[in-house]
Amino acid sequence: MFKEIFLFELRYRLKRPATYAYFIILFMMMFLASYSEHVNIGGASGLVNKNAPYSINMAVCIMMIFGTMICSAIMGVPVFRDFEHNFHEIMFTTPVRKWQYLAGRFFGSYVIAIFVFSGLLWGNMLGCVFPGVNTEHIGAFMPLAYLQPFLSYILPNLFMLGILFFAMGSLFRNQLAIYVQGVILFTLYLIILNNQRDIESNRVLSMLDPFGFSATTNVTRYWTVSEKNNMVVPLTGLLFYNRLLWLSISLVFGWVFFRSFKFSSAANVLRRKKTVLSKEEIKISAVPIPQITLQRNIASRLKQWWYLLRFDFKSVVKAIPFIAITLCGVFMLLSMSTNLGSMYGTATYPVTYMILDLLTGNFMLFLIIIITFYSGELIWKEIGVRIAPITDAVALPDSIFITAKLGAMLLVELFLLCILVLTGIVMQMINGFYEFEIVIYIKSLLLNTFPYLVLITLLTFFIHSMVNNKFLGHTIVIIFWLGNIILAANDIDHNLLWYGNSPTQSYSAMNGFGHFVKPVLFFDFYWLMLGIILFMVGLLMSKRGSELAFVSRFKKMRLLWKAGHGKLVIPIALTLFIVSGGFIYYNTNVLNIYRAPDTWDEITANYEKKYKKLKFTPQPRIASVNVNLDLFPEERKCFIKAEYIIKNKNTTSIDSLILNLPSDKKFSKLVIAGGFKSVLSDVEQGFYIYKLNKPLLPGDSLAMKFELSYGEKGFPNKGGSTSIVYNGTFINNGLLPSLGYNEGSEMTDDDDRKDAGLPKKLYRMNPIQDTLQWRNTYLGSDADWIRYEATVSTSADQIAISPGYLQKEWKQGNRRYFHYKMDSPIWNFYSFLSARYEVLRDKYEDVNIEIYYQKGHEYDLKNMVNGIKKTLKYCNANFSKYQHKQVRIIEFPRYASFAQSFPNTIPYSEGIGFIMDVDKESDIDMAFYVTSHEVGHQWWGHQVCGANVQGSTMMVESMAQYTALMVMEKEYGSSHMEKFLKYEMDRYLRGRAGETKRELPIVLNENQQYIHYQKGSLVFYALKDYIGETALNRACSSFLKDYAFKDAPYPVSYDFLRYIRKETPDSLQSVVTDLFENITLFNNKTAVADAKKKGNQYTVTLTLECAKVNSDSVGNEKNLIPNDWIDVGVYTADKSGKDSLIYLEKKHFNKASQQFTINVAAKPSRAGIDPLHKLIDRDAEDNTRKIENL
Amino acid sequence: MQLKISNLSKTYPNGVQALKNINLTINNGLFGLLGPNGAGKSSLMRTIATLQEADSGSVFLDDLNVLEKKDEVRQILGYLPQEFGVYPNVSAEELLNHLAVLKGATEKKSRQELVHALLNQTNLFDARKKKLGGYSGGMKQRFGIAQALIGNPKIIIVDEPTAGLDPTERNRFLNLLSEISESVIVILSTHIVEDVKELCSQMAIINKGEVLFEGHPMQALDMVKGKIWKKFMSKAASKEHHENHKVISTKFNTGQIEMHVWSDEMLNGGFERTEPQLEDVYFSVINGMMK
Repeated sequence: MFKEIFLFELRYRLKRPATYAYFIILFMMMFLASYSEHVNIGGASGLVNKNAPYSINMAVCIMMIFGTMICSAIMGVPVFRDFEHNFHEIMFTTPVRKWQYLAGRFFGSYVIAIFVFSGLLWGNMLGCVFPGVNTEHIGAFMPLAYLQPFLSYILPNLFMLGILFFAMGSLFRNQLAIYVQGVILFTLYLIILNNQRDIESNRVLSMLDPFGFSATTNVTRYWTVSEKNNMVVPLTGLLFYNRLLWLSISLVFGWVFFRSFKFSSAANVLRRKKTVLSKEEIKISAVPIPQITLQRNIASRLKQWWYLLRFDFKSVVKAIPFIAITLCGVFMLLSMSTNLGSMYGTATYPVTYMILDLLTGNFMLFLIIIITFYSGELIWKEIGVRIAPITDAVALPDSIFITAKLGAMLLVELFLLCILVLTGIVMQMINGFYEFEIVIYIKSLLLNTFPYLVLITLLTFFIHSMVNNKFLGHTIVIIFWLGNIILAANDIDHNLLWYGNSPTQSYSAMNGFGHFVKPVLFFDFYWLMLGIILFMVGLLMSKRGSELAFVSRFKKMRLLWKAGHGKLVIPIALTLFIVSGGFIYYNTNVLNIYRAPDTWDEITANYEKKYKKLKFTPQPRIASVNVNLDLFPEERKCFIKAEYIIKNKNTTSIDSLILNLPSDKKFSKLVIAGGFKSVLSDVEQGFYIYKLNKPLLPGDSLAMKFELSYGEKGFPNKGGSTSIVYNGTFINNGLLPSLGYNEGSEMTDDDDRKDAGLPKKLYRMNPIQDTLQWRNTYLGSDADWIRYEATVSTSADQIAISPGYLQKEWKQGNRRYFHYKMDSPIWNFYSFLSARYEVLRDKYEDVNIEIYYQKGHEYDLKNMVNGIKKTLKYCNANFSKYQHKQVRIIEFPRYASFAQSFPNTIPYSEGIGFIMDVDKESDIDMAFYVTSHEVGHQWWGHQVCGANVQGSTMMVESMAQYTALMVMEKEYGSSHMEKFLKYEMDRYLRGRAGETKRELPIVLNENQQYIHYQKGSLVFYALKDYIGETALNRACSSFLKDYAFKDAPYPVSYDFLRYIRKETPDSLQSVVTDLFENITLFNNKTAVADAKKKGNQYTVTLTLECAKVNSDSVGNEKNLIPNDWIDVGVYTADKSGKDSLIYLEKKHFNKASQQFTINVAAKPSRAGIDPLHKLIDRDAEDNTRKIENL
Repeated sequence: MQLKISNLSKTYPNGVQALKNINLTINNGLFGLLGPNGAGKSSLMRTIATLQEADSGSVFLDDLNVLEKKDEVRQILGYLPQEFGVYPNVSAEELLNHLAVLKGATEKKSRQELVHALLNQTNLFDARKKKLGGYSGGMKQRFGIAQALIGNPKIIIVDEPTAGLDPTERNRFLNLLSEISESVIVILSTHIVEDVKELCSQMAIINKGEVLFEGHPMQALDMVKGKIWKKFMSKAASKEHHENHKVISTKFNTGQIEMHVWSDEMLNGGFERTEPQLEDVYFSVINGMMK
């Protein structure tokens, strides 16, 4: 019998179109992911092939998670179906045994589910060989790459989820319950993923993840390109145990279900049984039916409308799935409140805008699901329960019915937003933060979220009004949204074209909602008008009566239209739609320039194509800058009037000037001493060539005066520039002209370059041998050290800042003027900031410290001041004297989240460092760290800067990192350092795993952040450990002495390395090579750790393994025989079980496995090799081992 | 009041011609519309109840054009569809109240009185707080009639209301209808002849979208008087008779087959003339004996 039931299930399913629909969905997703350059699921990127084992593995794993709903739809229904069709009574009275019935149904569906999900593999396979695919990203066909994910995920996941859904579906026997359980599981899953940010809890959570995704990422997180392309994710270790654990759990669950399933018709019902009323005596009642007048007036219509609205509202918010999905979302949000805005494990204060980002970012999906689903359900409600024949025959216009439904949905949306606000407040309270800004919650949600939800509702109503089948309606809505999102992200990104789109915007504590409000309101209005038109059409097509066929309803609509229905609203809405659309178009495309992403690519490519030939044309260099900048924050405008002194430092005379401005900019005035003629004026590129009337002779200088104006006219398609804003302007020298062909403007992405017909870029920075580029720093090729002076004016209530010292401040009219002048030469690298600032002043020795901050952001100021003082102290003592008399930190809005060091001026985003909630005992003090890094740049960057070639960022970024590390270590102790370096190690290893081109040794790095920041920290900390802080700092200070404030040629990384090598003993020279010139990785491991007690002493015997490899740029490894001094350490545990080091010494390793015997005085608890993780090691967990035998 | 249906035709998109040139005149009182399943009864009733368009023809309620002035018709209409559902988690009282609001009973107090009276009339008062999802078929049907009576309709259309009711309920239901029908038009469709026989002052028989008979039930009986013959026989013998006679109906009666046949002339061979029942009229008309 099992066989018959099994085969019946198979045959039944194979006849259902849904089976193939699911298959095709999964197939197409993977097909597109492998075929298209624009779609990416999982791992393929850069050099990782689309059919690399890793890519297929991750994509399958991810699709399995999103496929939860499909799995639920397949596996949840087999038993439920029998009950739904009342077939169970027949089934249960046949001689079939319980196991045969359940197993037959289950395995039949399971096989179908496997078939459906195998679509993932076929999709990838076909996509990779389909004609027209970019074969550069396709590797050799590897059967194992497909087999492994099939075995690791498809089979076990479907089995586990299958049992769960099968059991739940059989017990609950409710269509919605079957879908809702998918949502619930998915949410639980998101919660697990969200909490995985903390690297320490990785392993435990990896086991808890039933999909095996976390376990997989845990195993593969440090995989290099080569490993991703060639290695199959092994079904061993963590992943294997994870699979085993969940298979066991599901088997137990399945067994419990099997035992508790009653093979009879009445039992098994978990829900409350319907009470069927017994028939009562028929008695004739004498109550006469009262005469009543039915009302038709407006007041009565309003009453009916309001009544219906409440009725529909209640029907939604009381529905179990609504409550379940909402609770899921809220629960997920609350689960996030423990680790808000974490940086290096340090949390930020949960200020309202952060919470809002979190709320809308994570809850949006839930909102959209709820709204699209229930908007559809409301439209179909009467038809669904088959009461429509009664309600349709009631003398109430369609408009009342449907606008009441619309009103109910809007009320539901407001209700959900209220829940969201409450959730946010609870999240803030959980974190002990009580500065609730309800107004910001309300404004932000009403401005950003609500209009979008309304538009979704209107569209969903329209779609459901047009179709004749609810499921078709739901499907079209989903397809529409996916299409809208995917297409809007692609070629044509004009917000006027994609339903519901409006410019993105963000709230800043400094600038509030800023200038974003107006354009968003216009776009919302525009779309609302279209929404109303759609809604009206839907209304005319409404499903009243028994004839639902589209044709009949369309006929009816024409009659209604002829009868004058909608003749008021539709033309008005249409007019307003066109007028507002025209107004927006005028703003985005006439007042501003709109270009599609493709066009931008073309322009970028053309710059190189047209002008690269001018790369070596000799140009003068800027020697002095004097700027007058008048800023009008309220109008978001500024006028620049400036003078450059440019000097010919070449050996030949120069007859023409090449000037770059931002795209579409022109000089409003230009005066060049001696006169000039315009030769080329390419406004689109902002590229100009002027022939000098009198050539500039070698060694000569000339003055060049120009005027420029910047300002926002109307509003652009995207949110628009965030540099000049009402409060918190931050602009830099990029607004002023630069000289000569600018290589930095070239297109960088190789795929884009290929599309544009440009050759691949082999180097992301010039090769280090390119001695011509040693004449430039990587900050710019048109200047060396310059003299700088600026007069900045702004509104009376704002303070304007630029590098230099304040010479004079005055008021003129309602404007405030500041005159700044720098007393020593600086790079051609300056900025202007203006806002309504509070100022904190302090002093360290003879250096003035000033922090310009937004009122309310006082949390971390002390740490910043402390960071400045400690860094000044450390650098003055160890490197060289600070070149300025002042350090200023200036807050700017969180439109960007970085801090940047300009001469004596450090703009610092409000998003990082100003709202950090630092627990000094355990947390890394982010404000202190970032401050220290930026102040360090006053030396590393502003005293010396590397040449415009590979490796130069090492002398700037890595050294700022080293400075911050040393200052932090002095301030917070080495245990904080360990924690910090652990993050750096993790980020470095992940960074190299995500490399899209090639990893280089630090000495040759091409501005790669994971190398110059993260590896920089690790390398310099290890070097300091080997040669000592004093020796390393001696190298630094001698390097500075020889290179600081010197003109070209500028130093390259090997120059700096020379100073390091000079301070390194011969025995450690190979360490320097490993750290700086190679990509060296260790795999250190403690194989055995034993201890014996001898009197008061303990003898620890260790068998330590040391494997050392060199990696090439894509991660191919070469084994080396170690010849290194590596830490060996022993810990003892205190009463609370906390380990502390009692022994740490460097031992020489020259074999793969070595034994050591160490005597310690206290009872050892743990011991091993490189316990502090100073060497780069992908598996840090096995470095030490617990000593068990004491 | 008089409802006048003239030349009404309707063909569905799938090609089924549901109504063929229907002409009927219906006055106050109970009007029985008799016909087998699929005869077009429901199509006709839905058209009168404004839920469906007609291809051609007209329906007038006195001067009111039913096919065009839908909203005005709905104001005086009470309709009980053949099949309907309810919101499962709503009680009878709530749903009746809900429908009363929709029909325009927006004044709370009078609405409440109305709802209670209707619940009493349909004997649902005791069960008024129970969820409709738990109602038996008969109770649901009674709820259906209760809602059709909201707001003193001038024309009440009830589509197969007695299906699923037990005999007591059915009687009570028909009594209620006939009481009401004194001053309004009540159109009752059914395929059960008994329903019509007892109560209706007017009736029509339709089949395959056509009106085959219209008139008073007594008139109908007169038409077949003396032409109905009856005979008891075994099952085996019935086959032969089917070939030789115009058989109106056969049914089992106490273990034998009771066969009714139509004949204008005297029949021998065990046939005896029988007093015609409305059922005989019905089957004769349906089976095309009476043209």
